[in-house]
Amino acid sequence: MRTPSLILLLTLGACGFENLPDQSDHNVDLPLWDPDVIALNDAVYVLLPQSGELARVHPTEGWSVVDLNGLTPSRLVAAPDREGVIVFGSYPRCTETDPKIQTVEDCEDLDGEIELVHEVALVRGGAVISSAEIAAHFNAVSFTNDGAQAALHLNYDSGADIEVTGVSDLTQVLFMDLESGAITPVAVGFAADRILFNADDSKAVVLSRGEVLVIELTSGNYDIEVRFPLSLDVDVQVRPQDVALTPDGTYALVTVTGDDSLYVLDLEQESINIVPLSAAPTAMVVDPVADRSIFVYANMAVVDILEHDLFEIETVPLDEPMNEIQSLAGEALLYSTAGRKDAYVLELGSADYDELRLENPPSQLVLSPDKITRPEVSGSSGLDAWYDSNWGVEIIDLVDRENLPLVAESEPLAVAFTAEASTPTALVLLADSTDLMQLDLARRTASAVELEAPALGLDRFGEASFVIVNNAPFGLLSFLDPATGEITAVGGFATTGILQGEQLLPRLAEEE
Amino acid sequence: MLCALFLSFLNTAQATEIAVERAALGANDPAYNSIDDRDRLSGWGLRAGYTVVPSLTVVGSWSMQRRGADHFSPSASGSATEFDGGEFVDSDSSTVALLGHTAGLGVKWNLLENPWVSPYVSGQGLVQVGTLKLDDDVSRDDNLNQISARAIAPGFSVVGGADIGLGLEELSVRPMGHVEIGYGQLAALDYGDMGALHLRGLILRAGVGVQF
Repeated sequence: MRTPSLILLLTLGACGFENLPDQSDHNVDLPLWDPDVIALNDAVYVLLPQSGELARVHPTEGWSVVDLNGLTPSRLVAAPDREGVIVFGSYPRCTETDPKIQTVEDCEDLDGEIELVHEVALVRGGAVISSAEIAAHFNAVSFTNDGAQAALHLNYDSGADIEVTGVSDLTQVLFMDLESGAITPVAVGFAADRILFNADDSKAVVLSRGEVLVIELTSGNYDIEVRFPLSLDVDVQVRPQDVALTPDGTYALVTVTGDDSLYVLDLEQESINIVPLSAAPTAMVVDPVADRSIFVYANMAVVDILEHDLFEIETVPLDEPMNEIQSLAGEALLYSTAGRKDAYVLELGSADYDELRLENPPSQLVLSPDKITRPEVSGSSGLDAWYDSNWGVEIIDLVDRENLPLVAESEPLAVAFTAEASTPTALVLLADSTDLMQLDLARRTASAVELEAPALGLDRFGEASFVIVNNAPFGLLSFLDPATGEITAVGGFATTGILQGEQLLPRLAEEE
Repeated sequence: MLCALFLSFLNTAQATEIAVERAALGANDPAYNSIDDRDRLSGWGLRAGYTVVPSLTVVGSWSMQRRGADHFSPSASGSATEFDGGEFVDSDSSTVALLGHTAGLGVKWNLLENPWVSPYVSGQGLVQVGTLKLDDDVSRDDNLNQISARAIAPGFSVVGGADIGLGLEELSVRPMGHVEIGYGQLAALDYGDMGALHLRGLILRAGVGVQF
């Protein structure tokens, strides 16, 4: 009897999680996972920076590692239809081709040098559909309206360092067919940094340094149809700030940094018209229902409405300057993230507006499917001061033009809306809280769903579910079915590669 | 006749030894750094031997290892703490531990029978059962991210060493010790997506016990 007891005692340490040994400290350089997850229709994809892997997480299937053929992913971009994800990454390659070279160390020991090969891969359904080697500097993606094509380009404004390997051609844009993964490079002029597509995706409008190009997309040749220089003087550098197409795709509207001129490019007649605005705009929105464009200004309490026939401006005075616009299809919601408490619902046809006074200056505004919104924070006196010293969630009923201010225990991180039209509900995540707030927008009541851990983010998942990104070192996602309130948590995916051995060269010379 | 001779030989050679020992196996694999900042996996165990013919002892051993590390990584939430003159990125803390059992069976050949020091060579086949345990919130018993994975790996060890007696040959139960050094190797302990441990290298064992 004593022998089994002794064995039980000795093996007890291997059973539970109490008093795990921790004689050492181990530090790693990169986060185990990136909470900026990509929720596709089939699963949620998570970057694992430390292990250099991509995890696929599903509420019932659990998690798995996507085989990227050795590619270390550095950035993910979801396709608009949420059926695929574009993965930017790199892998190490040795300049020597000795068959003995299997690891990065072997390469260096045998006088080889490691070079990083940059690649873009299209992942769909948890598998790589296609991949292609690209230059290191491509860091931005634009999608056609139907989501069938992506254009990869350099966004100089993204703030990231431009990585150059060998000699990089900064004039190139790569068009990627998201069905087949085929990539076609097109030279479009220096530093193309924004790409728009017209309504039927037959043309792409590319903004580059000092010029705008129109590329036809129907023939498959990607020919440049029109090239608009924004300045005839080569010494004058014109940097486009924003660009939009009119609803019929005939005109491109280009605003320029620090300039109160609007460049109206006629893409069919190949002509430019310059329209003077009230000032250099901070935001521009094209409303397809009213067929008008709206411009607001950081330091001027007016809104400009531009109609698209004769391109005439109607200037509407406001009480306070606004710097943000939300299009409401025929109407626009103007608000300010610069400490102003006014908001305006502007009817674009008549240029009439209703003024709303918020309890807190908004920091973020999210439209619900039935156009009810939410903002927050800052200071004044009395009850106002108390409101301002707390985070809040404010619901604006755009039908009745009423707002309901709610005080939140901590900073609201994210808002999403359930698809149920009969019981419209806003889901609000609060920082450092393990509760997910559910705001019934019709009854104006709040309830809470308890989460496994404090949340970092929220996104839609599938048809009617949501994924909540929880703050847990080994990774944790909670899948919420809003109809039942049921939560399925999947964690542990960030333990991938936690036992990191020698760095193998993923693609040896003979395999490539 | 031969059989009777062999049995009588066995009778005269019979001896049993039991010892408590400290055993360490080399672990130069970079993957092991996540568990232990030393380059060896060590633990306490038992060794037992039964001398079947003079100088030749069948030995069996078992040892248990408990090694682990507090694992720090930059916070996934990207939060940072400010201090005078700057800020540092907050760390996420978790625990990564290996709870191992090593069993061995083999033979020991004493090259010289001496009541004080008896040198020997020994070889054993090994089986390692390693349970990897990870926990990213040790303050909670019900933490969802308590992860456990088990792997089994065969291996071997070849060592040279010495039994150390106190010259007390006349006693029926004699205290003894042993030290040995050699090479050991285990096949990969494969933990799937979490990685694998390749334990191999210098083996060091030392113990005290009795022979009777």
